[in-house]
Amino acid sequence: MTSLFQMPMLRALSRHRILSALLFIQVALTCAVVTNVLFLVISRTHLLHQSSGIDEKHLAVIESERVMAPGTAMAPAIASDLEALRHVAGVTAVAVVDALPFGHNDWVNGFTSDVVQQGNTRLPIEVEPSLFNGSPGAFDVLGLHLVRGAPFAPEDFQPLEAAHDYAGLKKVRAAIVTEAFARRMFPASDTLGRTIYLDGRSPIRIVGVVDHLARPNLTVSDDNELSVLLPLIPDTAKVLYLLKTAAEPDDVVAPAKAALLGVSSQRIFHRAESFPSLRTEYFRRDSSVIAILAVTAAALVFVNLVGVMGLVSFWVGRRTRQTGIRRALGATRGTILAYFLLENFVVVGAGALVGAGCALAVNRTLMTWFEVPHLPWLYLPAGWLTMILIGQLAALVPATMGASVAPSVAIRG
Amino acid sequence: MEIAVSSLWRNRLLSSLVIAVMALGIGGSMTMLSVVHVLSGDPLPGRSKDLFTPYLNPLPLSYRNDRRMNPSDNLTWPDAWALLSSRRADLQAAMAGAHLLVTPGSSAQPFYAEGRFVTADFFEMFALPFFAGHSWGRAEDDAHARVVVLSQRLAMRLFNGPAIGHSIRLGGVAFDIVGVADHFDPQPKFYGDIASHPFGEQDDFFLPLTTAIDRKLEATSSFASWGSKGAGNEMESPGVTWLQFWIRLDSPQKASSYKAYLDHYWARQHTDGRFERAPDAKLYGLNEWLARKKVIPRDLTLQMALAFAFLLVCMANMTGLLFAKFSRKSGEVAVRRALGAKRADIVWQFSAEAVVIGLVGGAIGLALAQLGLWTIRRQPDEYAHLVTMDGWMLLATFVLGIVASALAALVPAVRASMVEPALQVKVAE
Repeated sequence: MTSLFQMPMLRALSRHRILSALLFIQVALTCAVVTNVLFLVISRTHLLHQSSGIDEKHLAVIESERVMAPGTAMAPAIASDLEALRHVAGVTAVAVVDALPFGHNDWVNGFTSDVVQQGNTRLPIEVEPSLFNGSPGAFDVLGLHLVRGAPFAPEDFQPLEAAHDYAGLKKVRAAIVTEAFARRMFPASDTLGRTIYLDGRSPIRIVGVVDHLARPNLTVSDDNELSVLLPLIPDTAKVLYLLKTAAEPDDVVAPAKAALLGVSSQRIFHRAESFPSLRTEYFRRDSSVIAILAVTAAALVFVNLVGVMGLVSFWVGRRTRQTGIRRALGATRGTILAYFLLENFVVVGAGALVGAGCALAVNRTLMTWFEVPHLPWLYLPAGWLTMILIGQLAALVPATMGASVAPSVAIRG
Repeated sequence: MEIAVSSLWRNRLLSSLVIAVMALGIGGSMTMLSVVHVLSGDPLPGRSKDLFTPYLNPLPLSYRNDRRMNPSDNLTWPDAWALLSSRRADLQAAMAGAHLLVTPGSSAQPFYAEGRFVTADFFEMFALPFFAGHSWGRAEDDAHARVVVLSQRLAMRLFNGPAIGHSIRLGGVAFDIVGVADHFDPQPKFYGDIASHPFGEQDDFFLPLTTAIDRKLEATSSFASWGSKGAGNEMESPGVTWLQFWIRLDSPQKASSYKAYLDHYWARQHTDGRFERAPDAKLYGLNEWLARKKVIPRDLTLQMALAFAFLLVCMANMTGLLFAKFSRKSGEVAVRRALGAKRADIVWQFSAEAVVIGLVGGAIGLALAQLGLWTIRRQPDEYAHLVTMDGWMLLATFVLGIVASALAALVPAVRASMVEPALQVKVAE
């Protein structure tokens, strides 16, 4: 170990104090930024793959708002729309719902594990899932995956009665919930057959549990699958029609719109697309943020690589004569190359070590400003190693050139 | 200069790396600078200095304020009406954003359009250009007339030809089209509900505010209310702020006397017991108002700062590269020095090289910045469609390129010029 310090390395470093400091600071900065960017890219990419829980590949979505005189009953109009959609070529099943994963329109309602009343000694658990109301075919059209219990029975279905202050909500008696919701509501026991209370009052029995169903709006938290399906048939002016298709869902969109306009032209299409395109649209911002972050990190790494290359070649160039003398005294090219690389390792390694510390600090700062998760510790050694590799890679070409100095150079000086 | 170009050419790898680093730094910082530059532009050049918005605060002392949305930024209808009828300014108008269903007929598909409820002076005050027809006057305001001015865009969509004289149903009410406005889309949308939508859509229709209140048409403003909700029309309530108000005053004297009038108005409301707060009226000029409301998203300012930090990093790296590049030529320098070149000449030679790097790097950086702006235009942000590069930013790209590369080259150039002539000649043989 003592031989390390006897090498002229540290003395050489201290002679070029400004340049060493420049390299050191730069490596630290790049390390801090790249580690965080890498982490953000990976965690956001994870979000992009959030499962919706539904059969996405064979689903087309049309969000239609009927324009009718105030007070007109919507239920018959929706029924005739569904009938028209059923006859569109390529459509195998249709349904009407009021919410969809990644669909933005989000109706969140509180449920409790027990009746909420004055004098309750134990506070019941409260969960606030997103509600998904749908017509009898909705469960199959969505292609949900039941893990326990049974789908809704025909007699479970009731109108939502939106025009009467959503009276259907107080009459509904059955619900299908996601596993995420079940775990949150009844952590210790089985869910099936248990009763939950809407707004702490109306009792609803859980008849089935599905594995996944994502909310209309995602957050970064682990609440993204708190969802409850209710057998309530939507009867608002604005509804979502779901079309299950045998082949490409994109192909049925135009004929389905035409069929609806055939029923009545007095409507607005807020959305008409296949589910895959809805999904892409929902994540557009995230995917472009990922792209921008990745490009930023790449640019920073490139600049860093080039900068290290420049510094090393300057450094090595200044010591042409010294290298010549060492070569004349019997040092091999390999020894000299190793020496230059070791020197680079010391500076870059120290810089990256400080950088890893800064990476943690940057992560903590970001956490207070934005919704950024905790940086897992594994990223720190990974970032450090990456920087070392980049440093060695950048030093390789100029150091090899510097090491290949002929011993005669020493004599010429 | 010739030496500079040929020297760059001789050392191609190193030069292209230096230029690439410069281009990346310039590209990043010019992208963000262009965005911020566009968004901080003057919405109504030439006119903005005469436009003012009054500030009154009718909120009760107990009202809990949200920091972002300040309900006292907007006026209640009774206050707006009082200011309108006082006619103390050269021109004055109250306004609010609108979102209405357009029903073109029983066979055509309905759709929603964004527009504005305004009072008559709006058009003259903001010098709204007319393509056809005309605006309406105060008489129509007072009569709650059902008249509308459409944007040319909406008129074309509906009629595909002359629209004047036709009528159109907006929010279930039939309006007579009296005018068609030429393109009018000031950005930031200073006269809108600026706290929530600083870069709103172009207005597709303008109709009398009085008629909208009368018919309870849907406004997009943020309604902030306090006190007990009366049975009457919420839009007319003295306890609901939702209106924007702008006036035109063409001299500072008029501005100060208007300010005095506002104080007087507030004092009277205070003694009457309607305003709980002591008089503290303000009159904000348009640009002052935009600065106060901080229309540029904080994220963008942060990103711009980061982009310039990146430019600094690039410059630091260029310095390193140029050290390497210039030091290789110490032999050449020594020869030139021995032949009588002064130190300043050497520095000058290296600076010329830096200028060439700055120009080429600036040109490539410009292309990168265009790519960056194209990416931003594809984002779902409200301001995305506004983002382009104007002549000033084009010029700034090259100036920034030259300045940045000259700064980066300064230390290496001076250092390289310090070689002793005789000593180096020997080495360089």
